[in-house]
Amino acid sequence: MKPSAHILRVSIALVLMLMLQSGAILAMDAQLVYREGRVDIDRRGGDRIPAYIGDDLRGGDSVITGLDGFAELEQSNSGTITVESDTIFTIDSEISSGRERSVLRCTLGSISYRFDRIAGDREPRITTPSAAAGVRGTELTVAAGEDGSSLFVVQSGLVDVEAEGKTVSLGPEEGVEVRPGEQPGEKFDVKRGQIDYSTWRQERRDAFIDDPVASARGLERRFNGFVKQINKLAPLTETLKSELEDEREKLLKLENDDRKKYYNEIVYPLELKYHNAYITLRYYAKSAFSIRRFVLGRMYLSLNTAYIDQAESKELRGFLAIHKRILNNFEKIIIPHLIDADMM
Amino acid sequence: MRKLFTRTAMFAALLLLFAGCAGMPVSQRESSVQNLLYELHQRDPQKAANLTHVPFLFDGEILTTERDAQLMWENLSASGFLSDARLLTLVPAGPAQYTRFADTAQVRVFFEHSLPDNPAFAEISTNYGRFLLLLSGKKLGYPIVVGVKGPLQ
Repeated sequence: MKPSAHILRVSIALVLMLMLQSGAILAMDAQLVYREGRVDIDRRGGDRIPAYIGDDLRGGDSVITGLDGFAELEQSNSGTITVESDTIFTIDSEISSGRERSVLRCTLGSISYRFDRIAGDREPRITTPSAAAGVRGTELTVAAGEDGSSLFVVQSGLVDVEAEGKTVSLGPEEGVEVRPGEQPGEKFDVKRGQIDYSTWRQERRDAFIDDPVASARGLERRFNGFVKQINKLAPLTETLKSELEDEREKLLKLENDDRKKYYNEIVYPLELKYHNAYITLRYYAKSAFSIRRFVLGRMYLSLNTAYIDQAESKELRGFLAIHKRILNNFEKIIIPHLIDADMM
Repeated sequence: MRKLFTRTAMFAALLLLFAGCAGMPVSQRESSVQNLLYELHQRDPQKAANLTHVPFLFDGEILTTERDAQLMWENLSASGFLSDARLLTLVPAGPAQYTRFADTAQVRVFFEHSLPDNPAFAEISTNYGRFLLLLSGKKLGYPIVVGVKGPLQ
């Protein structure tokens, strides 16, 4: 290969790497195939637009439904996602075993997933503010409540629900509830159509109003879990970045076959390592952001307006102290790993 | 001749007045903001939510759903928040003034990228203290609420 061709190849690899870093290329696409009522698409990068049938969704995009909203999405590689009213649903990605994997994030509201063709390690991961689930050939419903709790109900297939280091495996017609910052509860049997998700959501709303401090503490534990992961991974990512810059400088001083060999043996593996660490770091940062904006944000609004005439109440004071701690950590530890487009 | 001059002067003054009104965005007109406050107080929470931009700010929080807007007005209406509301000041707002809501990255990004047309800050007095409203645009002849902050210290 001529040196110029090799430089071109290296440049393309670098451009692709930058695009991946900026989120321009992400694993999963979905298409809106049905909608009712108010349905918006919040594009990664800030544009919030009314959704129309046929609209494509890419990594980082969210679907936000109104009080009368309902949407159905089809994924090119696996199945159908039904988004119920008053729901925030985001398509994202993470690195798992060195490969990029889709993450379907239900932050508030309720979603049903039906996967048709899932094989090997390509199955998506489903996350809520309190838990994450790996799925295998599954039809399931996930609900995320205003207090940060989640409910997973499996109609068919298998689901592993993980939170705070404990995994509960669910089979057909089984469900489990996960409170924020806690391990999954006991699994229970559930017949199809037996659970009214809007009633469950109302119960979680009431639970938050009854004891806002307990809900906020649970959410803080979950949020701090991401902070801990970021604190662990950020120095490693920085070291890899610096090593990569050094190796790229060395690469530029080489010529012809030496350069090709050096790239293949030294630089490329380092690029992959750095890319994986970076994507994982961003995944944790975006997960923490999602909890902070959508769950903590609604809690704050709900409580501050409900207690407008009781500014000195114990519940409000207790909640605000936790809110302040989360915000401080968010500004100090999470923000440096987010870009403006993440926050639009 | 004097009569003609007076008429011409009055006509010119009226023309200037109308031109001024037509040129000033609804969100920056005192009368429109006062009408909005009255409407928000009179209407049921769902209708008040319809006069609220989504996403909107509440202190340093960015709320993104229709349910958030409804929840805010349900709770505020129940407390009689706007029953004695009075407009104190009304000034145009700009992206650089995001710190009036919160000096945080996400509020900065909101002001830089998500602020609708003709934003204005309206400071109001209520039974629960002074509040800052961020207003913008126009819907049904009223400005739209894009943010609420308070009580101000």
